[in-house]
Amino acid sequence: MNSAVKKLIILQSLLLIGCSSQNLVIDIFIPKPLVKMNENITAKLTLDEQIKNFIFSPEELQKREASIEINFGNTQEKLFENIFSSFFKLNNTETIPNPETKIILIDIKLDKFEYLTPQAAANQKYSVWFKYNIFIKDSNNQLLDNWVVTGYGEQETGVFQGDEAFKRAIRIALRDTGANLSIKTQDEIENITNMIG
Amino acid sequence: MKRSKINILLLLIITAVGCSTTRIDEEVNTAFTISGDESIVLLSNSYHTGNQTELDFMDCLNNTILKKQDTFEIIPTRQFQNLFYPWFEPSTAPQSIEDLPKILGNELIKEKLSVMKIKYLIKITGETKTNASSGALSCAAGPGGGGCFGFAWWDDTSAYNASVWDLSQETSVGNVSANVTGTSMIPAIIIPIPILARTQSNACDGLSDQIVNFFSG
Repeated sequence: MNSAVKKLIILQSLLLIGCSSQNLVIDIFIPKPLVKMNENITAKLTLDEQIKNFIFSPEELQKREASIEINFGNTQEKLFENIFSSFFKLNNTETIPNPETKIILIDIKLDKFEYLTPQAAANQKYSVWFKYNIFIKDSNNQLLDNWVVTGYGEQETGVFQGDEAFKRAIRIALRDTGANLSIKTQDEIENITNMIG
Repeated sequence: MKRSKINILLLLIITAVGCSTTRIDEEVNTAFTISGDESIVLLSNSYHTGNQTELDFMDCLNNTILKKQDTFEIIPTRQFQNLFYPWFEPSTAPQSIEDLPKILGNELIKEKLSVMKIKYLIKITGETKTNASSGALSCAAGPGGGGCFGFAWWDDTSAYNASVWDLSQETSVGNVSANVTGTSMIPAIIIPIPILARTQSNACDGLSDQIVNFFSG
């Protein structure tokens, strides 16, 4: 598209959204990973409060650009449950189903959620990053391993109307997080199994 | 002006397309075959590696190949990625033929590929870029009406490459590519009339023809 036409469209968009606030509600579909289930390991997930029904509100600095509130609902919780339930049986109650079953505790914390809008980056796309710290512990709460898992997504504004490109970038980043987490778990599963005996 | 003349003028405006030039290349490395119940999958290289193949181009390619032939099956890219999640995502999919053995070493993946009879993976790279643009177009509106005046033009290049990987042999059996250049323009005397060179659409058409011919030949 000609740059003059692009400038006109951007100017018009800025005028339209300049004084408004946006409220994005995120929903996502993450497929069941194609991985091997470890029947003899039960995992208990502990999710950071920021992960459960996380609502992102921009800080003062960001508000000057555009006020965007992002409601993640339980998408992150569903993402982690979906991934880990493909590798292990999940049990978040205190009961131990079988004495033969080995237990691991998985603590998940959201470290960073960052994004760049087309206006901030002076390009035509939204970019989104997630960074999580994941602590793997044995049944005595002793740390076995500490993973850093990231996810990145970008989406060109292109033909998408309103917030759709931003929502897509967030969905892609969450899906990427799930993919990276699955592969990390697959790579480390043998070590974990050996460590818990 | 008569109504029929106005209709013809409107039709001309709608169907006006800029001129474009298409160049197609094909390279075959080794012999290969595909039968009616076997499938192919298209996958674009990742933006993590700087590749920017557009989603709508991938959709166009999937749909066009499906329409143009009935000698083999084509599994839509998104469906394939969901079935094989997380192994063919932008950040995890094999980016070169050298990465294939590692991913195919996973028995779950190999078994599912075999059950679904997916024989070839076609890696798509490339994008549509605007090379140069010039001219000026200004629009104004007032109580008595509005309009535009000026002339703007730009050159687009759509360059795409498809590398065909044989998943059973873990080799690249060939490459096809389509390179389309075109000039679009918007002359405006009161009403702007966009005359667009549909380079991406032409590249989709050219590349899908090449892929179909590749497997038919």
